[in-house]
Amino acid sequence: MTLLRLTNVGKSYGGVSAVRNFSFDVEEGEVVGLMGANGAGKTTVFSLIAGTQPVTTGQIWFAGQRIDQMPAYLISRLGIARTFQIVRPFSGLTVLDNLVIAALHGHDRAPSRSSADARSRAILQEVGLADQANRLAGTLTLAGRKRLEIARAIATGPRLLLLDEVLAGLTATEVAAALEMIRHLREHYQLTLVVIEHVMRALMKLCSRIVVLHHGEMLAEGAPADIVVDQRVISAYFGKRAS
Amino acid sequence: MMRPALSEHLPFVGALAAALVASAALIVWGDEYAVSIGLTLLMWVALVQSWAAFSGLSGYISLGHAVFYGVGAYVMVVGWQILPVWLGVILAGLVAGAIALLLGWPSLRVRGPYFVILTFGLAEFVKYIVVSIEAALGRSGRLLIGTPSLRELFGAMLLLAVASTIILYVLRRSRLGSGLLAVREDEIAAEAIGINTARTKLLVFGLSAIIPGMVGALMSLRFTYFEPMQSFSPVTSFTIVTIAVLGGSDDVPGPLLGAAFLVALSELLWARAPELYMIILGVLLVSFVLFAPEGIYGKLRSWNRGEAQ
Amino acid sequence: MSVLLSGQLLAAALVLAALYALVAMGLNLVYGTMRLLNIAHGELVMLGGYITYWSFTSLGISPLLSMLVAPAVGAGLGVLIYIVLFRRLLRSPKLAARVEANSLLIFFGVSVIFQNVMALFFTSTQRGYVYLDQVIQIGNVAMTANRLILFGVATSACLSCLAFFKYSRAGSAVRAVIQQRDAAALVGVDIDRLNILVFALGFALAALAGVLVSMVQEITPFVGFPFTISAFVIITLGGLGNLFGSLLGALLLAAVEVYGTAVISSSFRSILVYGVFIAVLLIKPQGLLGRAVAAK
Repeated sequence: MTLLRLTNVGKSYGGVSAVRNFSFDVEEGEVVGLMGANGAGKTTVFSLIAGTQPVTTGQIWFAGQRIDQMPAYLISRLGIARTFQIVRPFSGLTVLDNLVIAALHGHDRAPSRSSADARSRAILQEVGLADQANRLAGTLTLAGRKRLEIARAIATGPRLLLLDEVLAGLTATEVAAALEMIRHLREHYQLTLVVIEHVMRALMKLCSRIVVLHHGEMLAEGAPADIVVDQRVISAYFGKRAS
Repeated sequence: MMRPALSEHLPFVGALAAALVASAALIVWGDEYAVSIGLTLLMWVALVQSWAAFSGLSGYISLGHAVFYGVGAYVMVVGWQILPVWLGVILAGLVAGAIALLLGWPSLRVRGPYFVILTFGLAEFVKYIVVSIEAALGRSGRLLIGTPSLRELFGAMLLLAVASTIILYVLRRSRLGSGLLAVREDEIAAEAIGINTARTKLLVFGLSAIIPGMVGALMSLRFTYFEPMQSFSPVTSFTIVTIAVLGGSDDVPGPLLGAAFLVALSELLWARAPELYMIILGVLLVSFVLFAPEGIYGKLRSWNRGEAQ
Repeated sequence: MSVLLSGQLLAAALVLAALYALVAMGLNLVYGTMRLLNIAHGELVMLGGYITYWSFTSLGISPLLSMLVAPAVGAGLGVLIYIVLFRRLLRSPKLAARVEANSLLIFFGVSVIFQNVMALFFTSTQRGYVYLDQVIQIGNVAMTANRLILFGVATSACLSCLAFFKYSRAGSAVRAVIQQRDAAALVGVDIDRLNILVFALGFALAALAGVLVSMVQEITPFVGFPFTISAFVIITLGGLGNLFGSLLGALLLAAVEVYGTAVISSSFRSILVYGVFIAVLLIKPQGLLGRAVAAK
């Protein structure tokens, strides 16, 4: 079924439009990649879906319900979780508590602290942070905090997970490990994913479909293999790049 | 914050029981002076525990909590000899809570530092309104005759102090409290994991005003005199915040330690050199903010854990 | 109704506006560059007033001379407070994470200390002196000489400041920091030295305002706080960090106060000021003219 649907969504700040006339669907169980140069509007799209910013035009539907005018916390409770490009851990609380709070308030609301605790410990195990459960989140390394960000989002028990450049700043080995972890998490928790990434190889490996944004509008959409050879994408995105 | 096993609550329950025993002994055997000091101590405990339930957990510092104290006192004196005393106290608390919801609804939407100075401004605003009302009624202060005895007030204040302590203890470990802690850490992330931050903040803000309202009512009975400039005095707000910073505002023992320290200091200095007392408080506040922001209790806890800074 | 159109009220509003503009400028500087809300700002005004009072009544020194001395003392205090307290706050990552809340608490403590130190030395009795209170007639407006001096000094001080910020190198650095702190640091602005300058200047302006205040009204150790509130209203109205904007804000607030209390009654002055304060914070915290700074 179509889990997420954006219809002619637009967002402008003052006179500047960050996103224009953007329509796109996500089927349940898919992994869709969102690609584009910096400033193309990718994170804005996430903010619109997650409700941290209201849409200027258009509609957003999630599991048959219209969500574009809803506040962020309600959207989270409906089943959409997200990570932030610049991670936002609860630094003064323990790693475990970060997840427990999410489990107590999110979509799959834990009925008691002990069940929230159990769920959180299981997730920490999956992401490899179990041995750091009682450390303050602020003391983790960047890689650790990125894993925490994902883990906390999953602790809400979402149906749709929006990952915003979770691989940025990681070394090649860390990227490989992260990809493996994401794939595993997706299977284990039956997640639908929309992934913003700059690391092309990762997008190719992870996604069944890629959407390319350019100056706030959809430029191309298709299977990774097709996107990579698409002329419009190459000239817009790869064209003048040195790497 | 974890593990609901009952044994974890034993230290808290034990400490409460000890406090109750000590208080009972004080009522029975203490002289007037001792009981009145005890009353003052309990008053600050009740005020600061209530303040900490909102400001300590959420990080939204209320610099105008005296407004709830003052409102409670005003309700009490206005209803004096119209309502039975203990009903007046309860009403005082409820009106204070309602005022908090009224004031909080617009103010909690403003970000951190604005909220702090806004609470101060609101407290002063309400103060001057009450001053004007009293002036319009031709009153320059109100006298209460036939108020309950010192020991009765002590007993009532004990109830409030215990209640406020229990409320903070339970809240901090509850789902609602965890939402506040998340707000303190990162409000946007809190919204992203499903916390209705606006409602959570407003609810607890309202809750945090009820006991201070009742405390204000009791203290108007104690002083048998009401004067708005005094009852709404910013010194009360300042003292609450200072006690919280000194003692720690993250969990229950903090305000207790801070209040005990403050009462001891004030007994030494207030009568003889009130300005010096305030200066010392100011210096302590600044020093603790810079060197021990988690308060005495927080420092004890981190030494205990052996945490490296 | 005709009283509202009188030149007398207009003159009163202008004099008050000049004073408020001076007080607000210092607060706006510190907030604009460092995002620190100095709620002890009014206490510097109070200190300036007491320095003048004491110099005049005990040493026979003219308030005109105090206009040089008090700002110097204020600047010195500013530098001291910055170096001893705020440098530490800004340099500790743990404390800086909640810099706004922590700085408010520190300033709060500082203001209590100042108020009570002065209460210790001078008691809470109102203190005043008489200086240059001959009435001068301009058209159909009668004004005491000291009020005219107040207007003149306050206006020239504000204009000099604005000129300093527009045309001098140090001033441009300050404006750069107000606009974009991190970028300013990158192009080589020594943020620490700039902070010291800003503190010194902000406190000096407040102290100067205090000298002027003491000439026209009686002072107590607690006279400072209402000035802090008024200054805060003004910088919020004019836009935080917007130094020109605070001039307009000062005009607006002074007008509301003077004309408002003429219509209602002077005993409602406090309610009026705090009411405006609350309204501004709630309705448009970005100020009527918007912020001069980039959004976070």
